[in-house]
Amino acid sequence: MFKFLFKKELMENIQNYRFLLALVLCLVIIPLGFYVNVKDYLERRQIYDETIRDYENTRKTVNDILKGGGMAFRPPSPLGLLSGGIELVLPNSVETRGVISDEGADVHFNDSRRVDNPFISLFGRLDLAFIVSTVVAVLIMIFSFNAISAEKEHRTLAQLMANSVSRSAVITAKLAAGTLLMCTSFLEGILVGVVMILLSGLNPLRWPDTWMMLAVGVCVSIIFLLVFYNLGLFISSLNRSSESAMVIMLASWVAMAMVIPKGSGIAAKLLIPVKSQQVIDLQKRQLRLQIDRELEARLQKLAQLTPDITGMTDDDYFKAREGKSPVIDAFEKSQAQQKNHYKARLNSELGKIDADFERQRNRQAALARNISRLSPISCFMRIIAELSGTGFMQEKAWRETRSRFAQLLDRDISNKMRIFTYHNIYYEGTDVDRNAPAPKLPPSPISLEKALASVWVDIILLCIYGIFFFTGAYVSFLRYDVR
Amino acid sequence: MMRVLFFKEIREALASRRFLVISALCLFLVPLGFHVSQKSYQAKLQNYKEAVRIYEEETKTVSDILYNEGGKAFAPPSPLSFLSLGLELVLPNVAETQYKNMAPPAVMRLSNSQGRDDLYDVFYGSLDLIFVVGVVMSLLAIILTYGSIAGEKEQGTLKQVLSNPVARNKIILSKALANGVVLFIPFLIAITLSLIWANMQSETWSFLHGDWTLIGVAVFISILLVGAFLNLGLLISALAKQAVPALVALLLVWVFFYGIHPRLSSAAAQILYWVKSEGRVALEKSQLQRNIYKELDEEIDRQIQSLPESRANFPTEEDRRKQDEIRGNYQTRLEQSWRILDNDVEERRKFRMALASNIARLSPTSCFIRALSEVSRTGWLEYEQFSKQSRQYEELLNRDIFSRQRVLRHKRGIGVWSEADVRAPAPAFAYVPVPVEMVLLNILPDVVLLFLFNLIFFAGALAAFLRYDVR
Repeated sequence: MFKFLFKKELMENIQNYRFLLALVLCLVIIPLGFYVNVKDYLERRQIYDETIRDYENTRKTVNDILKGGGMAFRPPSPLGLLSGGIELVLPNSVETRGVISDEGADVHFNDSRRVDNPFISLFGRLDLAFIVSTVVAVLIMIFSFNAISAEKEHRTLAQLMANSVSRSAVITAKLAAGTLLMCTSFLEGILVGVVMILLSGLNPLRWPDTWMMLAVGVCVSIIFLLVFYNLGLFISSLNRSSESAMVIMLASWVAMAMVIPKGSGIAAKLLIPVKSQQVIDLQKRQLRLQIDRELEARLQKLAQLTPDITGMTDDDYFKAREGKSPVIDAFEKSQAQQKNHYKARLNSELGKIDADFERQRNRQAALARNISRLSPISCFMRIIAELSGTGFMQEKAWRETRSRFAQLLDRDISNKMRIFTYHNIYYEGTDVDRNAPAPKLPPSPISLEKALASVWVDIILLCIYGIFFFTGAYVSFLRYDVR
Repeated sequence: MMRVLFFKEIREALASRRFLVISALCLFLVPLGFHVSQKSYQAKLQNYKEAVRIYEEETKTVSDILYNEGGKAFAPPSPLSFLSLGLELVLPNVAETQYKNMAPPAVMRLSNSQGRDDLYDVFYGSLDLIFVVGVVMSLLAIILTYGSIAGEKEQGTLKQVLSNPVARNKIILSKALANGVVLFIPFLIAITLSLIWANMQSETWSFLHGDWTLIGVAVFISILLVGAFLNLGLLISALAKQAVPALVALLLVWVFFYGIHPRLSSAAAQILYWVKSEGRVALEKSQLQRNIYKELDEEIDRQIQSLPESRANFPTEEDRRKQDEIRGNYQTRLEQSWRILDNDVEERRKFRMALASNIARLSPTSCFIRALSEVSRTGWLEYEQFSKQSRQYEELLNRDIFSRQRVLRHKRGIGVWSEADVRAPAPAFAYVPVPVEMVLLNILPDVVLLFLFNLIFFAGALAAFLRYDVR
């Protein structure tokens, strides 16, 4: 019986204008979105490669880093075609500001904004996340809004029920036929998109894991498609009129695609306010300057309190130093002690500011994330963005990159340096090997396992939403009174 | 007759559940959106003030600017961002003029870290008027009108109405007006109450800067957009024979206007007209600078080596002038090369912007989004104003401070000193927003187009309705 009903539903849907519409839209919009995003990515990738080359040519040794500063760059995400996410506001690189000294390097995010096409920021990108959450979602609404309600309206359901047909077979046949057609249209669009970018010689997927991530992204889209179709069936089976079903579906879509996700961030911001990155950076800079001033005053006092060197001229001092005078040696040791003390204090206070900021941000983000999980659409958007490497995890990873880069510069340069001062003359005491190769921080892309580990809750939630909507549709259909 | 029809439609709409739903949604969403956007603005303002305070504390004199290797200019957040968050989180709000003694002139870098403070707003968008009007109100307009003619055709009531001596144009006009009234009255009440409430909390908007004028214009543009969707609803309803296909068709057109067309317009412009990206320009500029400064270093080396030993160690006033002259020549060459590069890209970028803008204008929703972002002072116009003013600030710093830095290379090393008054107070930067008249002039084409969309859709609806065959 199921087979018969399934075939009937399939034929009805295929003969209807809706299937053609879904097919044409998927075949046009998905490949177009792929093409535009891949082209954009390849251009950005080329600039990234050239920038890296340029940087490596000019920063070959430690000396080059000491003269020109150090940088670590963020490569653009090859899977931006899945979701543009928050890539637009991610920093382009991390870089040192000011002089790298024995006190450490002051590493900042480079947030310089290069806006080539403001309309992309204003109107949004034509990525798969948008296509699925808006275009495909609307197509599903059009497919499913009258799947049951119209049969109730036209009394065909009553006639069908008069035969010896199990209700579960009817509803599962409707679900299976509808989702099969939607999935076919969607997968055909994806296939054409992939073939098109391969044929046009634009292959962004030559980096490890990207094919796999794309495949997982498509699978998650299919799960979303099923979830939304079940929602459509649920609403359709609850309503006696197709018009009401459509209006309710539309309202649910607006709530799930927009109101809940938008509200989640706002609610979290209002409940847990956090200072801006700019203010934190300025506070850190202020602290650095304040401790620098204190250290300078302390070193001057130290010179005054060392009676053997107070009266020395600059020439006498450096001659005595060359003669390995124990007085100068002791003076330099005292300076080093003071510097170590201040460096430890600076690092601990900077670490405290960072840790507080990080803790507040994490609390705010966790709250926003949990609120947004009330909507299957935001779960889906989140999963896709994390898989694309343009999500919140990338931002967090980039924060860690900043700390790692600072540690690398400390280990390879700052900790090997010792700068002393006498009468406002700064000189290098211990030798850092200036000709040693410049320290480099290679990009560490987020692996598929890591991405999945961060979104497994959302994937499970998406499945639960699907089961919940199907159960709802099933129960309300079973409870339908034909009289 | 028109009056009778109008009041009949109004009564029908008022008696239906739809009016209740519209009123409830307007009275819930508009104040909520205003309230949270205002809170978000206040948080941003506080952060902006804190950043400026800390910067000013550490940059009191010219010497501080030299010590920090540059000055900073901050753009305040827009008090009208509750209308549209626009490009506020993406476009630069800080301009840093970075100066290096060995490689003048100072280079300006525009940045924005705000986006990372509001990641959820970047990812999901904000609850601004763009969302309330562009999504909710426009969908409500569709829901209100899809059945207004098709439904009457389906139920046969239209035949009965038309069998009376009633002019068809009056019927459709009264439907359009009544639906407009039903939709706009709750919306305007919600807007007015929200504005009064927000203003009572804190006087954010001033008449002086034209904020109230811009709010008025934003409300007017919103009415034009919702009106366009109302008329579009009437048009498709007049063309369809049944209400449900009319709703499906309207929904598809809505998705096209709201999501697909605007996104396609920016992508199409990018494909049709290639422009060197900012990233590439920055890279080329830095390469150019490095090459020119390498040549400069070599020439100065040659000059030092050509001097007798005593003058090479202790350059005379003439040697110093000669070095300044060489350095000046290279600096001019660099600035000229940069300008050529910038001008070339700027022209092409302007053309592509215009192309994308004009393609986008084929959709009423994109006209609305673009116009509202300019009215909210979170659009491209404001960005241009900020970059123009920060460039002027950079020129001021270059003229008064950095160009007075003197660098002298000799055999023993490099001497750097400043001829500027280092104890003088650091030049301040105060941002002046785009004048209201300029904003209005900029959005005029979009407003006219929105008006035209209203006219075209209504004319289409009228023509389709007049051609309707009752038999």
